[in-house]
Amino acid sequence: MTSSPDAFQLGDIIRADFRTSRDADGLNTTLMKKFGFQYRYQPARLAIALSLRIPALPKDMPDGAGKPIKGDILFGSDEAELALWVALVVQHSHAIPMSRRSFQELVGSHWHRGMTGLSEISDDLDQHPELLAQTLLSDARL
Amino acid sequence: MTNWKAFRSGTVQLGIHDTNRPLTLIGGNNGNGKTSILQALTMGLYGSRCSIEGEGLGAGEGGGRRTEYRLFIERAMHRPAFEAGERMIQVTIEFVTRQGLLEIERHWYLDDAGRFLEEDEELVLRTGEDRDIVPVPADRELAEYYEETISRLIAPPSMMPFFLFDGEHVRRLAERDLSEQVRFGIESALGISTLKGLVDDLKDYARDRARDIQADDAEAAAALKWQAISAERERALGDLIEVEAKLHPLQVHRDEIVQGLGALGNGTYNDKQEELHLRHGEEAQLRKLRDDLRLSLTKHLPIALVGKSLLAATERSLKQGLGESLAAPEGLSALVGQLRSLEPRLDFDAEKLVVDRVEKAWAALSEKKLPIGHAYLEGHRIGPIVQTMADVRKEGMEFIRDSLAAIEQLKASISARNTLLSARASADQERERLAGELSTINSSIAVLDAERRRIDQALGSIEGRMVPINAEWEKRRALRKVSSPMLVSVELANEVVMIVNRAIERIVPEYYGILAERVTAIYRQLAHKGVVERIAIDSRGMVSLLDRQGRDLRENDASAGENQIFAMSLTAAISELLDGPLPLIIDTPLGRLDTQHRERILRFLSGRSVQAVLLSQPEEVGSAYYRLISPKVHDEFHLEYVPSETGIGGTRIALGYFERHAA
Repeated sequence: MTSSPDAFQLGDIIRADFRTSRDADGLNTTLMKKFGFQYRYQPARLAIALSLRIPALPKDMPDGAGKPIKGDILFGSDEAELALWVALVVQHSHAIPMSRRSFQELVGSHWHRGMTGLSEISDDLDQHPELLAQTLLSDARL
Repeated sequence: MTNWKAFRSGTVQLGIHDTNRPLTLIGGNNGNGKTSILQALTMGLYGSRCSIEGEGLGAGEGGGRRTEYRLFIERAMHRPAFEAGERMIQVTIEFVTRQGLLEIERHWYLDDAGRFLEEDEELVLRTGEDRDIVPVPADRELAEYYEETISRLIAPPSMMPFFLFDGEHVRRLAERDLSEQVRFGIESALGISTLKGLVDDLKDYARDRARDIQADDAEAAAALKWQAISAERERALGDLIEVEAKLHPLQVHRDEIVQGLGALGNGTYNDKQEELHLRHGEEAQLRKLRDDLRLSLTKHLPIALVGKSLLAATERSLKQGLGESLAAPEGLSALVGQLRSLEPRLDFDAEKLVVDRVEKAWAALSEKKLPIGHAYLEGHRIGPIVQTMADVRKEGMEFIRDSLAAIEQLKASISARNTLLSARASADQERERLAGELSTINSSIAVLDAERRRIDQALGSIEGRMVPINAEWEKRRALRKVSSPMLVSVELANEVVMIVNRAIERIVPEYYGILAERVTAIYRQLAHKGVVERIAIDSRGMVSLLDRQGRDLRENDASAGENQIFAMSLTAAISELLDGPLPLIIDTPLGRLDTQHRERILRFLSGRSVQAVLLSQPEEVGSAYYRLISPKVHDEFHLEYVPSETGIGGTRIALGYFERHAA
């Protein structure tokens, strides 16, 4: 089985830079500081997951001016873990074949949309991560 | 009465007091001698010691009073008798006292020019049926002893205004300062004026004698030393009391602090450190748990967060690419193991080649087709991805839940420790505060204690020095007592003065209550307006006329207490304080009273068991009033003016109130 020339490979994702909008990136920094996350990818993953929870595709992000995060950082260096993230994003978009660039932009849009929601959820919370966890679990009925 | 004012000679036989018929009526028109009878009684009883209201014989002092007395006596001489050569005035009064009959006879002599010969005034007391002259003790002066006997057996002169008075003038009694008057009345009734006289006499005595007894230099020096050291001791005692007054509350406070410290419990430094250590440990654990949670929160939770439907769809897609039977990796391991154990064994390179090829073949069998839309997975194993998804959803979430539970537990434990530490900190703070306060108080106590010891020692030293000084002074005084026995009398006199004064101060206020009760009772009988509910006399002798609401009527109506009715009540109540009540002898008893008050006064006087002699004008106790009281009248007289052919006439005392009644 061969893929189309435009289709991306998993190795592309590992090396690719992912960016969200400037605003979402700002919120990412804020939440990172607020909840004591050590890395920028941590709030980003939560944001992307929250967006993936919404069945509709996200609108395009207004810009892609946020600071970049490498794919293996954003989704993890473990191949299975990274592949799972990619699979979830692809599956959410109904498994339509896409290029690496489209994938990057789609992830950026998810990140943008999810960050807005995450920021709203965490506005009233104090800095402890358990409160964020409890709120997310409760909202997701997990 | 002989040659007394309007009477050349006159006798009023008032009779022995009959409690059922207490009244004696003596009627007389103005100028016929009613007042002369009253004055004969006052002068006869008290001579120069009395004062007569409205007759110019006031309570003046010294020469003034003496002159007035002289002028009064000179005017009292019955003019026709003087002109007929008589030079003596005589008044004789017989009283039935509690010790039997007492006859008081006074003689006043004038010279030919009508001047009173004061030195010749005579007073004779007789007693008993035989009228024996009252013997005078050898060490007593006659006049003084007789006057004292009259005061003792009848009443002191200060009581005179309360039993011998002019009804029209009685108001003046109450117009004076009432508290002064009440005090005066009580003192009179209790004979305190006599005691005060005694006090004055003793003071004079002590002063006069003390002047004669001069201490010598040695005694004076010893006395000075004694005074000085006594003063020193007083000061030291005062200092000691002052220090102890400061010390005592501090000691009480110190005990309270010690108790307070005990109540704070036994929390030690080590307990606190242990608690802090445990808390630090838990805080570190909490930090670690939170760090782990942050990682898990961003590694596992996001996968779960995407939602069940996306996860299920993804899982379905991925599984499309998995072989049904050989998908399990353990199958490949078993196959490779079997290949390697086959005999004869292959060499290393050959075996590696075979195993690689088997594995590739296995992979080709396992993932023979890619899930639709997931072309990027070409060349990658799908099994681990699916496995990761399952692991994350199960173990990752379990880890998160366990972490959350552990965090909550740690937080609760830390909170409990914080509460405990906070309580301990408060206790430590309080302990520190109390310890500080205790230290300050202990310092103050130590200073005061030292001061107390110092004063105690000083006192001991002073008292030690006092002994020889006192002994020296006593010795000097004893020496002087031997040479001046009068000193003992002087000291005794001073002591008696002090005791009597204290007794007066204590006794007088005790009688205010009794007097107030009697005045109230009598006033309510006499006054026809029932406004006054109670008359109160406080410990200073201040009089209040209180209405039902307890308001003092005198505050609104200054004249409330200054009427004849109130004065009569006060007078009657005071006279009742005596051992045996005095007869009441009243000139013009009804004065300016209205009809209702006249009736009330007459009913009151006739209802008492106390003898009352009323000297009245014909219209004052007219026929209606006369009929009202006649069953209670024991004796009745009227005074008649008898003209003289030679000029000034005289008054005759006739039986019967007035002729028309006597008829």
